[in-house]
Amino acid sequence: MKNTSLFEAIGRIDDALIAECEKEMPQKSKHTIVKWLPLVACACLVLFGLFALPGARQVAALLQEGGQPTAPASAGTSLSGEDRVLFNQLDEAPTFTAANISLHTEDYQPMTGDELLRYYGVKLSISSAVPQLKQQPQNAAQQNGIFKNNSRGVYYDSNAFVFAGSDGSPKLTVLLSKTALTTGLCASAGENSTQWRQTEINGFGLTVFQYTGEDKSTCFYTEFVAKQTAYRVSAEQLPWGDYKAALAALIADNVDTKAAPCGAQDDHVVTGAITVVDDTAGMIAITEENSNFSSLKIEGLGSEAKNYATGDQLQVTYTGNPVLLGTLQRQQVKSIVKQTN
Amino acid sequence: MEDSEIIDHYWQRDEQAIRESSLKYGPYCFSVANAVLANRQDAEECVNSTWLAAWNSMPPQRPNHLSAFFAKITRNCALNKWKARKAQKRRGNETLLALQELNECILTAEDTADEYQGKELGEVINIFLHQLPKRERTIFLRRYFYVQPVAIIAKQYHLKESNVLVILSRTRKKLQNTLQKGGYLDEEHKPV
Repeated sequence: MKNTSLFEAIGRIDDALIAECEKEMPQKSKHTIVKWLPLVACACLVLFGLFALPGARQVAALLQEGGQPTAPASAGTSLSGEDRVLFNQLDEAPTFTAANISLHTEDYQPMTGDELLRYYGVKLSISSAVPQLKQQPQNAAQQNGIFKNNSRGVYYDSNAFVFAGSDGSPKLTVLLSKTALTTGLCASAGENSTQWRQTEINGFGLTVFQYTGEDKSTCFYTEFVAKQTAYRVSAEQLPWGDYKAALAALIADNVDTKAAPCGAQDDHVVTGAITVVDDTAGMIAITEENSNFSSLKIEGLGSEAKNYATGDQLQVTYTGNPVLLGTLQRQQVKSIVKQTN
Repeated sequence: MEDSEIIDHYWQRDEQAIRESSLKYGPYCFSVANAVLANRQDAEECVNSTWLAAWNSMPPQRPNHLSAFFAKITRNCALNKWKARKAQKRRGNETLLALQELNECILTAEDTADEYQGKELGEVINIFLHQLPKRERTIFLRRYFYVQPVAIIAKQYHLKESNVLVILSRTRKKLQNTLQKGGYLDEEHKPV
């Protein structure tokens, strides 16, 4: 028998002994703070979604083709008549896998709003597109900045930019991150096998969720990645037209739709090795080095997931953009081809 | 959410169980896996495998200590992953060190690690640990269950590293004697 067998045997001891040892574990260091990330999918929880998402939430599954958008309050950003509007109606506000991550205060580098935008390489001309939305000053209490050290590099960089009306309403929040490139959104296509569908704005496909807020107002949420930066854009009490105008401005400023087609109907091909197979949830995940994402999930495979094994090299052809950050839906996948070495 | 409620969700086949498990114990399980693997991505995969394994285990199981239940699953997964990548000579030095230290009290040269013996050995170690003084036991578990570096253990117990090493060495010696009495040791590993 090998030492690993002894190591394994130690793993079979009574739970009570482990619990006793846990109690003696020190509490978090006084130099450590814990920051809740209500909108951020911490990387350590990303794969949680692989098992938790299917059927995790009941979704009304209304896919409101065409929608009935109200006219934008501002003509600051032109809205192409060819834009394709497909809402995904949720029967309640989306929730996210709240995660906590240890942030070491000595790693914290505060930044001003302008410094952050330079860091992300992002331009926000939302106030020009929707004049009633004024950019709010960064809230110093929320520790705007990044956390970085020599060993981990930048390991936390989620920061919110808030645009609001004079009395705080309507409100649009843009959460940016370069380190959290996968979703924490807890929503699925529901039991009736409907699917998320993508709106196309200025040639860019993105999945827009619509739901009713606590104050009964219509709210919107979407998330996408461009140039290695994740955008999570939520709006409260903002008409669809204004929300769309804000998204159009974001896309026009930050997405190069001419460099590579990225509309809701455009095809893409990725190749990568399978890192996770969950045949219970009907999902697989592949790692594709040159992708925006460290891990790209394919949901909704059902029993088809059993055909794959960890390590398989796949070529995946899909339409549109990932419906959520790092997540493809089966319906948008045109083909999955195993590659042989 | 209380552990009992989380367990109830598992028994009800409610996927809320996984969400709540991840919220409450995700970071903890990650730290367990990462201590063994020293690799963030692999550790994350182990954590997710933990929820799946828990889902498949409950029912019928209803653990009394949910955190320990998760920790054991995570650690086992991490060890399997560590073994799988050992051939690739990837990092995991702390685990390797812990394993090397355990070498001195390992079993017969013949590789008879069948499932029965594994369970039996686990029970022997269980009894052995119950008989140890609490401090020795927790230091041993921190090192060989949680794979914590000696320096960390020393700091947490306000001891010198050399003291921790001595405690671990004595405990391993005791374990070696226990295994020897149980007929687990071959000639090569019998205490002189």
